[in-house]
Amino acid sequence: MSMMYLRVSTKKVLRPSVVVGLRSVYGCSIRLNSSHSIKGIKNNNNNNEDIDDFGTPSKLASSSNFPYVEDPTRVNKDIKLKAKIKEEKEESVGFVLPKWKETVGESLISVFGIDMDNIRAGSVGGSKYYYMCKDQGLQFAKEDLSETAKFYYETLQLPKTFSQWFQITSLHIWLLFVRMRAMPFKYGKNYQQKLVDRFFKDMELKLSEEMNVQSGRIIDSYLKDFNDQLKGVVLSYDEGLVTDDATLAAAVWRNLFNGEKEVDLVHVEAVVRYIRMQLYVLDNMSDREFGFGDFEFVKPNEVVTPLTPEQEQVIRQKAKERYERSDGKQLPSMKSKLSLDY
Amino acid sequence: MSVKEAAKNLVKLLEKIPGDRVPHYSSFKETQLQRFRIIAGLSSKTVPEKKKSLIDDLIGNKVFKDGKKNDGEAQIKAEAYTEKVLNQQSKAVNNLLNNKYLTLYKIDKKLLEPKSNPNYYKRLLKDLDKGGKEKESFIDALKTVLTGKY
Repeated sequence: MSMMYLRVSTKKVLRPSVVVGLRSVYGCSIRLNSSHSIKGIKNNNNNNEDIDDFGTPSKLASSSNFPYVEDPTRVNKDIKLKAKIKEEKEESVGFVLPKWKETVGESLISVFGIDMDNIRAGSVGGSKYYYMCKDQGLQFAKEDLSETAKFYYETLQLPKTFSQWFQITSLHIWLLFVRMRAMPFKYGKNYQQKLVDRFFKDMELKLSEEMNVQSGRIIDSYLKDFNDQLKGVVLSYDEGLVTDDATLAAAVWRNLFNGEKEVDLVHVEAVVRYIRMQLYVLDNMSDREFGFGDFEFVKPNEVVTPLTPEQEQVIRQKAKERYERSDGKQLPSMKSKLSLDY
Repeated sequence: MSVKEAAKNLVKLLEKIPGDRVPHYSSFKETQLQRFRIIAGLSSKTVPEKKKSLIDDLIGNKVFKDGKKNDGEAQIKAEAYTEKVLNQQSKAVNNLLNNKYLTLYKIDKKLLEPKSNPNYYKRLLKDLDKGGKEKESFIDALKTVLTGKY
């Protein structure tokens, strides 16, 4: 089985400076605009809810009385806060591009007729979406765990290791892959490629900086190993997606739970619920919204209730209003061939 | 219902889980069955023993030791499994077997027959159902390489 997009690139890719400039333009404007319509279907944790039908995954997981026995051989390797890699300036939250750069960017796009959907693959797929995946299971010593990290390390009791972080991240990357496959071939492939490239580039950096692996040869061999693992992750989750919940649960157990024998089956169920929830949200997005970076993962302590036809209509209406202005005017950078249909 | 009965109930449910299409390092179904059969007081002899390789023979001593230690741990833990815990586990397995989340969060053809690659999942399943043993024809493989479509 060949998966062509799973190439590990360890070489630095040089990009023309124009493209890099545009990438930063869109990196920021998309981040700022990320108030999105699909949020309407996210309901916060409500105590009156029947835990049986619409409880959140983290509530479901913590409802279990399974005796957790700490394994003395387990390694919990916190990464030192000092070694934390800083976000790039253009990619940090709240970064605003100077007005003149934006104007230059916009005019370059219209003069050269640049295909913005292809450019956006880098800024959305390779930057915004990658950060979303990576932040899910990120943890450092002496730093408070984020809400999502609490779910994995405290509720599900998973070990704090690099390979566990890899598993959590690759689960989310797979979720995005599923949606990217449903985009037009040319663009979907590009989004996938950019996401995977960024994943491995970042892992290389993490291994050398945060995990303090000195030898480049060893890093390369780790990366090759992670590449194989990612192929396995994608294959087994894909199998679970199209077959049934039990198969998906087995895939989750093998990958996310590291094949741990003494696993709490309620935890596995909670993760299956979590995955199906995300897929439901992804399914209810148009290509345009997804391509522009409007998707955000539902947190484990939130729940998705299936949409009623009225809600669906409201969401679609809002998306149309946002992307197709009534006067037909649009900035060159906002042009897109991705469909708004559901 | 006693603990043993609850465990037997869970074992019955676990037996309904479909087997792996492709053999993996360890199987979810078999591992869990083995684990709960001990608590239910059933023998776990139905699990076929693997052929030991030469390397396993060489370090056989160590494997034996480790195996024994794990069994002992399971015995200690067995006391911690109460009826309530086992029933919770059974409920979880039951939900999975009934495809509770697959039906609750129904997804459309959009994701299952993706625009860029409509046959992706069909071909994948076809390959998996063969157990990953049979290879596709050369022409099919070439097509995949050239077009990038799976």
